[in-house]
Amino acid sequence: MPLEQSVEALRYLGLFSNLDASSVMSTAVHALHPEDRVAAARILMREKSISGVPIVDADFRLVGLISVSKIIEALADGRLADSVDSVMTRDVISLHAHDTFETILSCFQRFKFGRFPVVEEDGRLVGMITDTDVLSAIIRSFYSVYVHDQRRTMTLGSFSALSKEFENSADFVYGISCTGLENAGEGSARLKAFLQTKGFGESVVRRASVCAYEAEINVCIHAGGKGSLRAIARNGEIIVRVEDEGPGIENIDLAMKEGWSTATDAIRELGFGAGMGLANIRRFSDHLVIISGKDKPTKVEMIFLADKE
Amino acid sequence: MKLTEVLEITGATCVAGEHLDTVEVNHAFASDLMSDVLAMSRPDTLLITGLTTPQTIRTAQMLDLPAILVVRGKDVPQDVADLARTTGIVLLATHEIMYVASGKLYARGLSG
Ligand SMILES: Nc1ncnc2c1ncn2[C@@H]1O[C@H](COP(=O)(O)OP(=O)(O)OP(=O)(O)O)[C@@H](O)[C@H]1O
Ligand SMILES: [Mg+2]
Repeated sequence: MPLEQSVEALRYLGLFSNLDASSVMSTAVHALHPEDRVAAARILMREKSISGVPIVDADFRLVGLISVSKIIEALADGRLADSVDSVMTRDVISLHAHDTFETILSCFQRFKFGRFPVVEEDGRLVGMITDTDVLSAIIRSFYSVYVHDQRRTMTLGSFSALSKEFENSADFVYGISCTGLENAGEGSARLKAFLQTKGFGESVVRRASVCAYEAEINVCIHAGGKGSLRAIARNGEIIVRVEDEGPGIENIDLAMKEGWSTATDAIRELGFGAGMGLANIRRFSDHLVIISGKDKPTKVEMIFLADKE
Repeated sequence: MKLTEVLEITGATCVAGEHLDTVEVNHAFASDLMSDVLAMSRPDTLLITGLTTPQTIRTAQMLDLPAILVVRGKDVPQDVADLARTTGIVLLATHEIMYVASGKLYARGLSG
């Protein structure tokens, strides 16, 4: 698949909406001043193996960029002793720290440069983004996606495809809102009653209810109690999605482990915190996608197939 | 095992529910942590627990468990008893601690 198509695919998945320029960029930036010599830029590029050096003024505001091709030109013209100022590009395409992942990708697509400086509102340089930075950001963010399915991409594809459906035409919607634990589980109880009216078998309804319950409780004990529980129940399939508003799960693979829990003693007094909830969800669902991250919302989507039993 | 037998063996009283002679359990599971309970999925199971929150009832409801035996002589809050009644789950309470109640039931043939 050509890079551009895979970039399209990634964007379509919408999975990297968590990433902005400030979380993708590298902050260890080597910059030069306009009055430095071209020769200094050449040495910097060679020693740090970088293909472009941003040029900043005394306040670290971005004023230009010097790339390998400019160095080669300067070398041919015998201008290595000239100031950077005289050879640098002044119209630098730069990104803002809060630009979305999509903006970053389209920047790489539109302008065929290998790197883009990242600046703050006031023009101060705060980082650089190369294609390698984009790649490692994607890999890092996979730590915040858990997919319980061999066909990873297909499951992820269906996740984003279903998002609209959940927004516009879910069969069941419950707003989770609890301060303590008093009404925690009410949403799942209602979901169960709803599923029973839909003619699904006892056992698939039980699996879906147990998993919805675990996810609902997690919202109440780990995520401040605000969120939603939605379901689509059609064509022999029950799809349940539970979302909250954060603080998110930093390392989902760790959270999936049986017995791993951040619950306090106070929560254990209330009967939770065995670190079994997510493991139960994995065991009882047929497909599972969890999307989260540090300081991000948590989204848990589980699919239950009626004809599996 | 009929719930009437559970009452007799553990000296429990019935907090919510009726017609105990018509309700039958074939297994029991004992824990105070609900996700441990939820890991098990066998509907005809008696839940033995010291936890008396609404989530005790919700857990049984999700798993289609017919009955809960509360141990250690814990007082069952009114709202929890009410929830048991509305969800149709039988709620029993005994003064025995979990270990003894479980042991007595096991000895009389109620398997894990
Ligand atoms: N919605 C969420 N928001 C933030 N963190 C979560 C969320 N769900 C789970 N976690 C994190 O993942 C850990 C494991 O979750 P899991 O449900 O498996 O266990 P638990 O909730 O701690 O205990 P149990 O489910 O057995 O009562 C939690 O301790 C918590 O740190
Ligand atoms: Mg949990």
